[in-house]
Parts: sequence; structure tokens; C-alpha cells
Amino acid sequence: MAVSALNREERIGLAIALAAHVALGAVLIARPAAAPTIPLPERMTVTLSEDVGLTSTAPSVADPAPDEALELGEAAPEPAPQPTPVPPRPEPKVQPKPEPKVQPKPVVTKPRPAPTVAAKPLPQPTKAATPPKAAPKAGPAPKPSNAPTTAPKGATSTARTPNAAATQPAKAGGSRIGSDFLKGVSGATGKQATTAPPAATVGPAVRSALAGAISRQLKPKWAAPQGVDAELLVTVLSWDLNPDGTLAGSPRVVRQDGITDANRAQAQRHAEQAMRAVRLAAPFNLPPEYYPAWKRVSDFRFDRKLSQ
Amino acid sequence: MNLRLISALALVLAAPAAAQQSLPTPQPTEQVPEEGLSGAVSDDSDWQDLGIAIPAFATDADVPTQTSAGSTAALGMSLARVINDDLKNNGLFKPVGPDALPRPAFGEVQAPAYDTWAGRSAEMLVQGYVRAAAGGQVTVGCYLYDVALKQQLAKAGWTVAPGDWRRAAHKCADMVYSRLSGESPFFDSRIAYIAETGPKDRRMKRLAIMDSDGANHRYLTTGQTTVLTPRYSPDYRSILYLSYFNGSPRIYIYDLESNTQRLLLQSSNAVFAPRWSPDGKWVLYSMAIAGNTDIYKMPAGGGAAVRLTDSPGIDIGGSFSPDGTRIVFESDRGGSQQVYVMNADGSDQRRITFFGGRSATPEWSPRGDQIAFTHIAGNFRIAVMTPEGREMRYLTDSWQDEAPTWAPNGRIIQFFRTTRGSGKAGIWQVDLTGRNERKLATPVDGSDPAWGPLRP
Amino acid sequence: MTSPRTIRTAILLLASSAALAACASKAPKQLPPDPGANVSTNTAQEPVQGNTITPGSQADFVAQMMGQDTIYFDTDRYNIDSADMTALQAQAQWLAQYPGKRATVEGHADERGTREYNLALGERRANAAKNYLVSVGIDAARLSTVSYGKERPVALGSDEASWAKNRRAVTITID
Repeated sequence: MAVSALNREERIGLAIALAAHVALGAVLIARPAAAPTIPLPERMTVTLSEDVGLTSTAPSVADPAPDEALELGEAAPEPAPQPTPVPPRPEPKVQPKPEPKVQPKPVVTKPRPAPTVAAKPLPQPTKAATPPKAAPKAGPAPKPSNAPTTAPKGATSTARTPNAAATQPAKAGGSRIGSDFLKGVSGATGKQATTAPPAATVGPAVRSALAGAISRQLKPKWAAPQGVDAELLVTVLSWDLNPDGTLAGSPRVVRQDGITDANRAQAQRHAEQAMRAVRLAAPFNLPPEYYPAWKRVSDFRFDRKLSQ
Repeated sequence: MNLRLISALALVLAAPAAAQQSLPTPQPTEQVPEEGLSGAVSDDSDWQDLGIAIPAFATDADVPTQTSAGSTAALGMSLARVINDDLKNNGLFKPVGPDALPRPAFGEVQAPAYDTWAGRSAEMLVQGYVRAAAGGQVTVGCYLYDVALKQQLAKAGWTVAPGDWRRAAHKCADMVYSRLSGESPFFDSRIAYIAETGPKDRRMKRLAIMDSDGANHRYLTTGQTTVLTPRYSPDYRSILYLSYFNGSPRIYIYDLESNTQRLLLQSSNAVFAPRWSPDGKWVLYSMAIAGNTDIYKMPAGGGAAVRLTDSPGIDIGGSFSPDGTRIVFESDRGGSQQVYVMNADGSDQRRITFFGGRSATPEWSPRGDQIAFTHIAGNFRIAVMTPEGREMRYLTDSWQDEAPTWAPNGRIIQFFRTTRGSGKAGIWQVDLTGRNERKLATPVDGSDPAWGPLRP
Repeated sequence: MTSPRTIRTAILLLASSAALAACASKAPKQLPPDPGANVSTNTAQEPVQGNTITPGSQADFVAQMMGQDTIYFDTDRYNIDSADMTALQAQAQWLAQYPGKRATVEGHADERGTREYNLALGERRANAAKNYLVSVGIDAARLSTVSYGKERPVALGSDEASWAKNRRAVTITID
């Protein structure tokens, strides 16, 4: 996060300072080149394999999880500031730039800024995906919205989704990713998939792609606190989202792991920073037609991986 | 002390409060796997320093003060510089000081122009004000804001005597540091050390003291007599140290209020390695009788001493645990210098270092969770371990680093580093991660640093 | 076999030396040895006015000893080896010759040790030398010790040869 807030010179300075530190404290040997860190793909695969059995992916189009989805993960390494507001997403070459900087101006205000970008234009997708307003709060009633098995209902919604998708590019002025970023994913809807799966039938691949999208949007905002053993700390948060991607209420701490005597002082900071990242990353840019799948983030893990 | 706390409401605001509330309730509801989305995000970037803007402190009226910094406006600038330097030097933050920033208006201090600061590479903002108070004193207010979240994170204020204006800045830096790091404060503290000049075979060694940032530096002895190993008393009123004043090593007490010194105890034997107990009521010392050195404990005000060790080897030094119940010390009774612990009455002596090489100069952290020491195996390196002698971690790697001393918050360690050949020594500090190491600026060479506690 | 005569002389000698020692022990009161740290112990040897060395002076001691006023130790050790014994016996002879003289044994350590431990180590080395002198007949009351730890090196390098020269115990006589 810090990096994104720094200008180029400062970033260079910081890099130099860090390099010097590395040289000095040969203790924590650094592998020289800062290999672009790309842990995301891994994570996605993991989620995939876990979920696979649980949900049924409707599509008969036995399409193997496509390269594009993976690329998606890799392509979004770091906050490469790319100011381009990204107009209508042309096509496939999915190249998500979950850039922080670009965030539509009205960044952070309170938890619930007026529906900024995604919200207004598209009533359809939300509609398709079940009653919107009610849904967020109606956590306990998962059945209708998510239950992947409800193929029939899903089918109807899918029927509509394509349209939504079609209109989307136009409205998605602020959307850098565009709802078609799920394109290649099996179970995702897309132009070519028109015939296939119901939107509500959110298969594991879609779910993990959504998680990946959220992760990428959080990443530039997430900075773990420093300290002895601070890298052992893990904070798991949950939060709810409005259809427009804004936060509904505050993020909550589900649990924290890895607390030791040495890092106890940082534990609260860790949770605070994680919640800060969620606040700053909101509104999240996610495909509206899958709102049921992302309206509730129940278990999101914030941790630290030492880059060596 | 002249430092009066107006409002120590270092408000730990919204976010942490929310965290605490929600911690106990781990969402008993819906745990159905397909219900909510789960995922993960890792911070895998290099360590990043937090950008903090520290503009000059505002004043409502620019009037003269009795401080060394000048008028309230000039003082506002100096305060921000001191805070900037404090925060710059410990590796967690990347502050931008007042010389590169516009000075906010007095009215903005509590209503920051967030959008302006957001564009200045600042994630956090420290603002404050200075006002002349009655009796020549000055009032300093200090506020910390999260620029991105547009939220106030902490605030505090102090009224200080003119001569203590730097302390107000240190208190403000302490507030920011502890709010953003989760650690206890430490900037408002002092350091005693030995200032060194001259050639290697006839070094002149003087007792000196300074603030944690090197300011208010003062020599206490002239250098005619070699002095070593000072230790600040917990109340900052006096310093224990070793002096060759009478030709052989003895322990003296320097009284900082009367600027006088006196012998701790009369003895025909060599007496060295003085230490205070955390409550200042006891003094540990080591005494060599017929070549055999043991550790003794005596009341700081004088009185009968108790011998704590009686091994035929060298038992020396000693550092109390913060609760005063245990003492960690060094002994070569087993053949080489190693670290031992014992109860404060000398019972239950046990060796705790089994790391190979030699282990020396143990110092118990003020937090109690770690013991810092010098590990000798080829080079001399500063290391830490648990009080049980486990999880040794090196913090430094140089030819000769020795004699660690803890910052009051137990997160930073100072030590002295000797240069091979010239024998010149300098005071360095390193944080517990070992990542942030730097040399302290002292007027001349320095050794034997001893960090005092946080000032009241 | 010692003749009664020699015994009598010895007793006389002892008595007189004891008397002298008593006198001497009064004197030190006024000479708190070294108030200045920088008065290097070596400077005590300099006073060699002209070419004449007063017999029984520190200068005489240094000249007579030809280096044997100092003994050396291995790293972290304080034992007296045979070379040390030879040197200490020479010192003892001189001290026996001038029974009115007192002496201080200075213990030193090399720079490769922590400061306080080195003080204790220097004390131990000085004491080892003193004990040997006592064992060969020098009255313990005539001998004192002081440790300088690593504070007063004679060799200034940071190498094994220098360190070996600095791990030492030096006997200084007091006039």
C-alpha cells in the first residue's frame, strides 16, 4: 500500500534503501532479484481443487479451466499503476489490472459511499441474480441465490445475463476488469457461452476467480505490520458487499492465527490493517451477474509472505 | 517532571475498537461452504515503510518563547523536525518533514485537508500546534490522522517548560510510533555512554549522557580518569559506573542533581560491573577476591552486601528480569563464558546458553520476553534468545559488536561496535527484526551505551 | 645445611625488611597511584635520568629484568607456564634483593573479549602471577594487583601476534 502512495522517486529511494539493508544484514539473505511475486495462481488452484466436488458446474461444454483464468492470476502481479480508465473492454486478452490508483475518484469515504460506478447502470444483472436489495442482508437464506444445484432457476437468469453482459461494456466506465474477465473460466457466462450455464450456478472455478479478483483488488491496499514474528500473523475477515461493490457495514474479524509472545503487540494492528485494506479497496469491482456469489465474503485470509 | 499531560487520550479509535468487538464473535452463523466467498491475500512485497507527512506545527499567534527554538512559529518547525528525525530512524516509517511541506493553518490542525495530503505520498499525517502558555511554558498538541481513511487515529497534548520542548516532540513521536506499530513508546528516554577519544593505547574515556536522539549531550567527567560501563538509575537521578579514580577499578555513583560522585563501597578488592535492580533499590556488583570474581547484591542506599555466586570461576555482570525475581549473568565456571540465570537470592543457578562458542553480557529485556547477549564464535555478534535459552537469533554481524542495552520498550537494542585495527568504537542500534541497523551520531567515538527507561 | 650464622643473618634481614615494609606501607597513603588514566603504566619506566640507574628503582628493575617483568598468557588462560616461572623467579630475586620495595602486578587482556569479562580475566592473571611470587617467598603484603582488562594494549594491531603481546601480566615496582 505504501508503495502505491509513493511517487516514483521515492519508490526508487525505497528500493535502494532496501537493497542496502539486504547487503548489510546478510542474516536474512535476499535472493538478489526481486522475482515478481506471483503467489496468486497457486492459491487459485488450491481453491479449485477443494471446491470441485462441492458444486456442480452446469456447463456441458466440458471446457477445461482455461489458460486465461490462470493468466489472470499471473497478470496481476503488482500495483503497476496504469491510469487508463479502461474503456469498454474489447475482448479476451483478459488482463486484469486490479489497479489501486485508478480507483474511481470517490475512493474511500465512509464504508458506504454512494454507489459509485457499477451500481446504477445495471439493474438487470442484479435482478437476474435474485432480488438484490433483499439479498445482501438475507444472509441466512442462501438457497435461492447461490445454491449451485438449482439449475433451473439459474437457467433463466443465464438467459438474461448475456444481455447484461452485452450492455455492460458501455456502462463499465470505471470497471477495469469488466465482467467478462471470467471469460475463460468454465462455468462462466460469456458471449460464446450463451447457451450454457445458469448464472446462479456459480461453479467453483467462478468462485475462485471471484476470490482472485477480490484478492487482487485488496493486494495493493494490504500492508502487514512489521515486527518480530509479524509474518506469522494471519487475520481472517468477513464482510458484506452491496451490489455496487461498496461495503455493507464494517469488516469483521473471524479469527486470528499465529499469535506469539513476540508478535502479540502487532496482532491488533494486523487486524486493523486488514480492515483498512478492505475499506480502501472498496468499492470492489466485480461482475454484477455474480453478485449472489460475492455479496458475502465470509472467510478472507490476510497474511504475509516474506519475499525470500 | 515539568511535563504535564493535558490529555493523554491517545485515542485508539474506530478501527481497533471494531476489531476488539468482533474478535470474540467468530461469526457463528452461516458456515455453509457455498455461502460466503472465501479467499486470501498475501502481502508479499518487500518491507515497506509507512509514508507519514509531518508539516510544521501551527500556532495561533507567533510570539516569542523562552525555548532554544525561538518563537512559537519557529518552535512549531523545530518540533516537527524532531518528530521527523525520531520516526525516520527506526525503519518502520518514511516520514516527510516540515522543510518539504506547507505549514497548515491553525484551524486545519483538527480538520486536515485530506485531499491535499493524499497527493503527497502520505498515508499518515501528523499535525500539531504550539501555543505560549502561562509562566513561559509552551503547550504542544499532537494529532495523528489516517489520510486514506480520513480518520483521526490518536491525539495528545502537553504543557512543558521551555527547556523541555524537545520532550514534547519525543512524546508526540512516541504516540505516533506506538499507535502505528503496536509497540510501547521509547523516544522520550536518555542514554548514558562512554565517550572515547585518543589513540588506541591511551584512549581517553569520559562519562557522557544524551537524549535518545543524541540531543542535550553532556560530558560528566573530564577524562583524566578512565571510566567504564555506566548504568542509569531507573529514576534518572544517578548513574553507576566504574572508575579508576583511585588507581584501581571501583564503582562510583554520579549524582545528576548535585553533580557529585561518591564511591559505592570501600574495598581493597577490584569491584566492577555495576547494575541497578528495576526498582532502583538494589545494586549488583562483581568483586574479584584473589582472582576469583563473584556477584554481590547490596542495597542501593548502602548496607550489607550478599554474595550471590560462589563458583571458583568468573561470575560477572547480571541483569534483573523486569519483575526483579531473577537475574541473568555470565560465568565461565563450565570452562568458557556462558549465560546463566538464578533467582534474585542466588538460588537455582542454571546455565541457559548451549549455542556453541561463548555467550556473554546478557541483558534482560524490559518486556521480559527476551534476553540480549553477545555471542562469540569468531566474530562478536549481538543476539537474542528467550529467557529459557531458546530460539537464539542473531541481530548483527560484524567483527566485534558487544554489550547490548535495551530501549525502554524492549524492541530496539543498542550496542557498541569496535573497528578492527583502529580499535575505534561507535554506538549502534538495531531493532529486534535485525533489519533496521544504524549508527548513532555522537560527538566523538562511543562505547558502553546504557539506555534508561521511559521518562515519567 | 644452613649454619646458625646464616639463620641469624636471615632473621635479621627479615626483621629489617619487615620494618622497612612497615615504613613503606605507611607511605602509599599519599600516593594514590594513578589518578590519570592516561598515565600509561609504561611511563613509570621512563625515568632513567642520564645513564645512571638508581639501584632498586623501577628503572633498575626494568633494566635487570630484560623483558622478564612481563609474562604472557594464552587466550582466556591464566596458568603460569615454565617460561613464566623463569621470569617470575627473576622478579622474585630482585624483590628479595630490595625487600623494601613493593610491587603491583597489572593484569591485561587482548581486545577480543567483552569488556567486563576482560577486567575479571586481567585480575585473574595478575593474581596468578602474584601467587607464584608469593610461593617463591615474596611476602604477599608487598604485592598488589590491578586489572586493566583490554583498556591498555601495548601492541596496537588486531591480529594474533598483537593479541598475544597484550595478554599479559606486568610487574611494576613501587619506589
